[in-house]
Amino acid sequence: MSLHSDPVKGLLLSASVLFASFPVLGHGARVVWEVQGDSIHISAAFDDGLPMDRAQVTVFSATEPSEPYISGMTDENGEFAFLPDIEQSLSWDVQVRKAGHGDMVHFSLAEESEDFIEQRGLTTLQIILMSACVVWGFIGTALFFASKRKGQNAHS
Amino acid sequence: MSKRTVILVSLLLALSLVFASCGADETNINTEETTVEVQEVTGDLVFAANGEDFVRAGFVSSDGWYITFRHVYVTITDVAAYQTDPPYDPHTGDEVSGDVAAELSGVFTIDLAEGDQHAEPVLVGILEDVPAGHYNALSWSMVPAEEGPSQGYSIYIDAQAEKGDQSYNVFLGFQHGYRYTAGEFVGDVRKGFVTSESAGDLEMTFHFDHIFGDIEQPADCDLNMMAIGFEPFAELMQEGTVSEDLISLSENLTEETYTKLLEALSTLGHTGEGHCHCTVIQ
Repeated sequence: MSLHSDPVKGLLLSASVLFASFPVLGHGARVVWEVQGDSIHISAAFDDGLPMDRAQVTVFSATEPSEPYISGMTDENGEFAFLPDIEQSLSWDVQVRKAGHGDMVHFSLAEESEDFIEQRGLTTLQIILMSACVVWGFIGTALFFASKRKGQNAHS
Repeated sequence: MSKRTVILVSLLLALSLVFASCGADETNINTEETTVEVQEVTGDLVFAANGEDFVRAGFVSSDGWYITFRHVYVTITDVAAYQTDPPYDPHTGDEVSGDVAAELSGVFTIDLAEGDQHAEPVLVGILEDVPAGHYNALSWSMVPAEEGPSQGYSIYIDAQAEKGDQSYNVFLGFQHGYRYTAGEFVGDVRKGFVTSESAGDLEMTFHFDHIFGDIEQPADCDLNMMAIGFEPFAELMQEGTVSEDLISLSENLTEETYTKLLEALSTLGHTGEGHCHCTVIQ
């Protein structure tokens, strides 16, 4: 039986390991994110570079951190996209898991370009008002031409 | 429609747009304010250790050995949880630190094989009245036990391995110490939320399939390529028993297999499916 062998050898082993101490992350997964247009694009891969295809994705917002905002699956390239509700939160956490491997990425859109915030930041009221303005623009143009024609008819 | 009406409606629309824009800015400011209040209250934080179903129910190694575990002892110490902002990223390999830290003092030898496959993770300890908030990072050390059934070993496995008509008693002891630092728990639910009404829980998870592999995963997957399987241990069998520690394994395994074993041992610690940064400490 080899267990509980010579303690002197044990000390030597410990010493050799101390010399060999090294940081190890081991196998694992890596999730990265980026803004693409008005959505967030997630890309997940194992440490060996293979995509985490058909992996389970769960998205959380900072305002409701324990309730998933949206769940889904990566495609065959380990990719997933979602539209964040930036009225709800600017900070997001995305978890990707497959076969005992998993990783979580945390990011804030506060540092993102104002274009993105503006693009995704319109409230329902703002959208209604902007639509009303466009419609009103058409009505105004029509009224302008109608009044012009009326003026021409009056002259003739 | 009169000219006055047209001008009036246009002015109203313009003013509405100005007010709506100001309103949107206020919404964002309110969102930022919600996070600050939580630090005022306290709650309990529960630490658990989990060898998962692999250890509680047994599994088939990548090379076809069915392994069931009577005991899997791990000795844990220097357990601490943190509230980190920005969240700790184990990929960086940095030391974990946070504005709020909760430390569980003591040395704990845990039997991860306790209970059947439906058993809950093993309770390690509870910290009462820690500041409320989200504990999104965790660190712990695994050290050789100074007493008890696994004395001298940080990990001690008492198992049975079967393949065809072969059935061996297996005793494996690993002496090395490891320091693990992890980010947030990765799993079915998010963990670590301490409030005055409910305790938060955190889990130190150990993946023993990293040593033996898992036949249910593809043979060429990352996990099975890293694992050494059970066959190298089976070859060391004497009188129906495999009984080895790192000293004897360093002498009896090939250099390549022994190196793979050391590497696999360093990757045992997780939090759920989230990987840790690991440093061999002794």
